[in-house]
Amino acid sequence: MFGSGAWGAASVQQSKLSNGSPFLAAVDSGPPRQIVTVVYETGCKELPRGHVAAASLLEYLMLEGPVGKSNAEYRRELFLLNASISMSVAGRGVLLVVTAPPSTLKAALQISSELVQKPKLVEDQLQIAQQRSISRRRAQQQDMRFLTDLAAQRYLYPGHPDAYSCISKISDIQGLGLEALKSDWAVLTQPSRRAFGTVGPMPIAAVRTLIEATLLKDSKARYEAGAALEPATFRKPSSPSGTDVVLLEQPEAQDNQVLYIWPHALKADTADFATAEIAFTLLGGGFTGRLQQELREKRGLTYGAFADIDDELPQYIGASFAGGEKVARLIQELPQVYAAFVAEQQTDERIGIAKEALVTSFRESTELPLDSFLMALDARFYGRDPNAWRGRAERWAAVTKSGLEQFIRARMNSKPSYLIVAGDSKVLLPVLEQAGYAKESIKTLSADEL
Amino acid sequence: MLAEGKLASPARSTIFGFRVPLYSELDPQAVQLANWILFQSSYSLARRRLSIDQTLAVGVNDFNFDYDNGMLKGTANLLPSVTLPKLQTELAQLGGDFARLSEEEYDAYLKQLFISAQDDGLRNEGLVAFAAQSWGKFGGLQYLQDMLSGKAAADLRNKTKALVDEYVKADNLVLVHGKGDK
Repeated sequence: MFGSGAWGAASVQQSKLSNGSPFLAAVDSGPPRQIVTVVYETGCKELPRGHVAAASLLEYLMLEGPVGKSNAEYRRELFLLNASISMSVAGRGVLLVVTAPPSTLKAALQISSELVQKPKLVEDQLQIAQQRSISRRRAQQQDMRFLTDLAAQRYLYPGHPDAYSCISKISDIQGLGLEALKSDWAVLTQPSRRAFGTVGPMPIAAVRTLIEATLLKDSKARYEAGAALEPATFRKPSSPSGTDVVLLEQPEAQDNQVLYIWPHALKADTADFATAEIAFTLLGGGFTGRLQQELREKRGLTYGAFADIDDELPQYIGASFAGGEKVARLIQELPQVYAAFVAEQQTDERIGIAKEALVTSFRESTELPLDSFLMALDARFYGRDPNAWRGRAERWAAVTKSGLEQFIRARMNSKPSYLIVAGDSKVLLPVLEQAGYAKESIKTLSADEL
Repeated sequence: MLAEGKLASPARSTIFGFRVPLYSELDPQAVQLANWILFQSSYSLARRRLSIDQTLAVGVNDFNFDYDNGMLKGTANLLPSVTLPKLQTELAQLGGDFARLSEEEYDAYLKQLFISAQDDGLRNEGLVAFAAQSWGKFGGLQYLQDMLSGKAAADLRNKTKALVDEYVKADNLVLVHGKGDK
């Protein structure tokens, strides 16, 4: 039993179902519908090499409903129940979410069970799913912001599920056939790898009974936990200067994305992480962050610049974008602004404002018991303590001015390990060389190579 | 009314709708429910006709009901083989589709609308926006209270039907398409 916090934070019970599956549950009388979650603790990490494309293909195929019903019949059935069923595939797992009013939850759960048991894995539907997946992938390949973020994950943490996003090459989407997809589906939806959850207005015991009668009815398989994942390992730069450059080629692009990356060794929901969050709010949080004030307001180089600390992958980032001659200055001056921030003294007033911004945002995102449940679910998904997020406000409050400055000088005082840029290489290569990045330290990638 | 935009649209985007009086002159729940059934619901009549029961378009959604006034409208991206006259013909059927709704379907739409309103009102931020909309669009907070409590206005079905009968007709359709589209 987890404790309640000061605001909206509800008790989230953890127990086990009859087959040993973990069961997270909370009551929230606010929402009109009950949510039931099934996490298959499998995900893209358990698929054979080259089969990551199965993730997006299966997500589209699940929208079609089970075998034996047309899509129109399936959509109508859910509509009349006021229910929805969604499925998403990530590196660490597959998330199935069933939402329905209490009066129709049982019927909705039965449909979801049918969907998993009898997916519409047939040739004509596969072709449609392939077209949709390819279309989405092509749109992503033109989104330079998306590409720089993807490179910050895929290139820096090769092979780690948290860096997957289950995004595949277009050739893999085209090449994955029906038999392979059926095999991948079986891997992703192994009944023994399910963890369950629920939140909503219904009594927990009533939902447990429904889950046992519908979702567990299809398999008596005992729950088996998978192997714990090792944390993602940051790819060390190879350049003698300590900063490698990754250039994502976008021919004829009129604009450019700039992303600096520094590694860190902090764990989420710890005192050090809380200190880092305050530092990054001061440096790069919204319109009042130092990066925005300097690079946009004072120097007019960009519409936006921000910095942040990632809580899943061990990296700090500083990001911005610009076109024309401004990108040359942005590439040189962003790390200079960062370095100046590290060296300066902070003020009590600004630290107080940063803390208040973090607490307000945290309170807004945890005002409902539903939020407590989702926090616990997320923490469990990423292998963290489901209770640790509750102390965030206290951890921020405990950060002192001297502690913050010590942290910044000790843990943020380094050159960036990576510069990731996206744009036209004809424009960017001369700019990078002028900024002092040797050709040998620049790796050029196309969007489909990520 | 057919209107051509100034820019070409590679995705064959269209906006379409039916002109109605300012919402403050109409029953609030009737106009919201009409828009919901026609365009906003995940199972709206427009979606059913354009992308569920047939495959004529993708991205079928409502458009800006919260911000605009005087027109119930939606958007869609037409598939390559679909002509504008075909789209017009399909949209002209929406009034008839509404008239043929069963009691079960109507009740499901109404319940879906109330569920959506109650979900929107769960958080302080959403509640504030909802209150502003109720006040600004419908002249008071009664609309907000009724939606959050799931209380249907008296004779709502007939009021909504009357609204649709009067305004959701072929000669009241507005369709805007990209430059050069046919």
